[in-house]
Amino acid sequence: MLRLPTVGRALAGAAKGSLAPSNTVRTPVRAASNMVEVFVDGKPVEVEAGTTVLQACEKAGIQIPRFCYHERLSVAGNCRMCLVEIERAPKVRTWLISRHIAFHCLIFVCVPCFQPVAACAMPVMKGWNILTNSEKTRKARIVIFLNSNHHPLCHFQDQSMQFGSDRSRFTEGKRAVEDKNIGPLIKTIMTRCIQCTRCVRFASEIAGVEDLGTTGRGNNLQIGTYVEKMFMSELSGNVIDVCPVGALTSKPYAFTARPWETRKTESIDVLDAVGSNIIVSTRGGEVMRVMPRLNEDINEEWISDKTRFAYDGLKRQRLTQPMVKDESGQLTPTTWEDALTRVAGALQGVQGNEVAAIAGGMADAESLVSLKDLLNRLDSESLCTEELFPTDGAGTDLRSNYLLNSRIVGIEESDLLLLIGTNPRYEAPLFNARIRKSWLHNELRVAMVGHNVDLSYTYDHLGEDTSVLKELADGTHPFCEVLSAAKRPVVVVGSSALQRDDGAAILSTVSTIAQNARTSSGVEEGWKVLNVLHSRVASQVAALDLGYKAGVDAIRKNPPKVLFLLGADAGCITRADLPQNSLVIYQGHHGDVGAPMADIILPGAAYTEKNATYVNTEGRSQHTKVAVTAPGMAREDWKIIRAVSELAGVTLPYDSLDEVRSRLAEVSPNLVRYDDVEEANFFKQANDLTVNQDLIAAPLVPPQISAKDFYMTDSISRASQTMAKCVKAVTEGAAAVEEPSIC
Amino acid sequence: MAEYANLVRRALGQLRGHAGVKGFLLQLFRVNDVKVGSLIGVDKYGNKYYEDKKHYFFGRHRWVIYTTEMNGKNTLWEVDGSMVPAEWHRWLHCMTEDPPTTHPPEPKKFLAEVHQFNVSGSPQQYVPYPTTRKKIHEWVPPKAGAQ
Repeated sequence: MLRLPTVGRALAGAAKGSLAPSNTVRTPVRAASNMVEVFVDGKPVEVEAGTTVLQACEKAGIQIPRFCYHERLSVAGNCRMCLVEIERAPKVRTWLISRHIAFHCLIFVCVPCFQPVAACAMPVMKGWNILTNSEKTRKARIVIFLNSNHHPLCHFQDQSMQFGSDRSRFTEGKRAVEDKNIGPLIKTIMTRCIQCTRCVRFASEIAGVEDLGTTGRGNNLQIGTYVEKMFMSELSGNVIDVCPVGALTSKPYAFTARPWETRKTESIDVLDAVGSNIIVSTRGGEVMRVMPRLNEDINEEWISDKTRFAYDGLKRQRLTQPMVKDESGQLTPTTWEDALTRVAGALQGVQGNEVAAIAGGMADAESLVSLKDLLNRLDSESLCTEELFPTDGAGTDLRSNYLLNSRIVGIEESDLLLLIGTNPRYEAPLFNARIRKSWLHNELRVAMVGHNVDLSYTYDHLGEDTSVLKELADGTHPFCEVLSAAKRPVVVVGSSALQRDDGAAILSTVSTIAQNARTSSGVEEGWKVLNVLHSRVASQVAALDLGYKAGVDAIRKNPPKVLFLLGADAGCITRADLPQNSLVIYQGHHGDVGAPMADIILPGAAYTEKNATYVNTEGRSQHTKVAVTAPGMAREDWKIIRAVSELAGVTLPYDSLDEVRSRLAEVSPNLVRYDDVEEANFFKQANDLTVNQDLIAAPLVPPQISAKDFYMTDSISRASQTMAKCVKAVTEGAAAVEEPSIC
Repeated sequence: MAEYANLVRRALGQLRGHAGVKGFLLQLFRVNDVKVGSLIGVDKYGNKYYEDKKHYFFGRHRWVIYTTEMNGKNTLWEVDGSMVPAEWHRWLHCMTEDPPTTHPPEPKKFLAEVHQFNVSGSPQQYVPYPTTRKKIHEWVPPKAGAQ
């Protein structure tokens, strides 16, 4: 009964409402007397004081045309398309009439003067009547379609068809603007630019790089970087979505497809641990582009550059046929029967610790649970993830130890954020965007212990050494006062910091810091302070939820005879660590690091090619959908494991996706409650269970420091030519990757 | 009476022109036409080209008798119009009055040394193939010795 999604969700919602604080910052509770009544085309509508005319009309259901207004950016008001006529309460008239009587020589012609008002900028006042379609309003909306080279998805074209005049009255000369080179990702045709400044506002507010600006004035206004500079931001691709005309478009996507030809599939991104919601556009069985989907809780409407542009890596270096190493040691393609019988034969001969598995960064929950079931039936418990996590103390048994407990939305309510050993700008760019949003609008104070990196916002850099952590935990560091004075503190430690040898000590120190901060701040019960940010591995949380061991130490201690690599490309275990005639089976979708090492290769499906469940770093379970079919002979991962199990004689009890998902629900019910965060507790208990170890005095340096470390972090982005161009452009400059333009 | 004499004279002329009764019958079954004319020329494959402007109107005044073997194929019975090479084709189709014997063709780069007749239906036929780029590039495993 609880498996029914609606019932489960309703019950989960009821349970959540009782303990967690509300996560809505955008509409805080206000007194009812603050509501203002305005009329939109005669229809009364109640809005809060301080909303703009445009938002009031939207609440009434009428969309006022606009170019430069964007909900998530500050108001500019320079496009003048949203001009509307306002009928105000006529108090002026009575006064003027009395004046006329008193000084009867004066003739006051009292005409309600019409001054069109920019709807995006003017806050509403009581009693106004907003006329959105009156004659004067329509006269004020002047749209002259000057461009002949417009872009097929042009908002400008749509609005000028709706609101512009039908014949030309243009007698001046036209202008043309040079195209700017701002990188290998964004194609600029600046003649189409209408100077709405949305890209300028995005770059300065949300991305945090102040590269774009306006030069000149009036007719000669140009948007650009002034000097030949690359738009160096990990969120730079979002200006393509934000630009209402075709001035900024996607360079890798240019001239490859038309939007009406493509099929859109809603899916989830797995190239980092944030789990941003995307739409995969496909045509003819190949992925054409990736666009963001709105999800207020995770990524709002932005996605990072790697998510957006690494899709061409899905078409290169693919494993399409099962391969087997022959006598000479050369991997040769073979049939599924041959490969599966070999794997099954090898598995039938081993028991217990002789067989082990490593789960890679993009393994989905369905294949993780099938693999665990298969190996458990062979009496083996050696299933590991590639990323290490300290197992001393509570380790991975308590979920609160390895999740981003405050959730990404929770950052908006916090007032002090302490980052430890992480560079969220390149590890989880959308998390960084949320931090920046809070820093900008909600007065969030950020402090960092770790390498001094440019995070696109200012923060207190407390140092790099682990001694800083010790001082913070003891209370001897000068920053401790600020920490204890914070009302809603949040502490985030990066998972890369926990992978060091003293990871357990770091986790316990951080846990102590978090507990101290919580008790001294007096925040309510539901607020979580300790968070762990997983950096590049989308499968880590699901694997830990399903019971995988974190880190390959278990395998190193007991080298197995048969090693199953489920997309494991981080190179944690090499041939040197294994005994001489061990068998390595690699199941994955790209030939990267794991495949050349393997004896048998089973081709699996990438994230766009399967219905899979991934859990992001907050603990939110989301699922991808099939956008294209897997190439060649590749199949979905859990089906391969199910086939192997049948041939090996230990048949797994599920045959369809629903049955696998019910098995997932058996093990960990939160894995099938999609799009909800299953919150974790027991922070105090986890803190009590921590082991006291010594911290090593090495500085806390996250693996991704500069921009060039951002682009190629997993097998898909390493195979992508667009990402290679980005790395080259970052190291050598934009001119190095400039190609002659086609148009 | 005079027509019969004419008819006999013509018949005898044709028998003589085709080298006897055997040749006449071979021509009759192979070419289905026993007209005789002046031999204008022979091309390098053995096709013989004839013309008779006096007795036949435009369109029937020039003809070819194909060779018996060309490019390895036995063409005694399986003749094909594409066996005629380019220079003789020009004359045979009355694009010009000058046969290649009197006016040899200008050497052109695209003219092949050995003229190929139409090979449709045979193993050498052209099969169209896609020239678009591959959608998925497979991974090529490294060479065993290189490791």
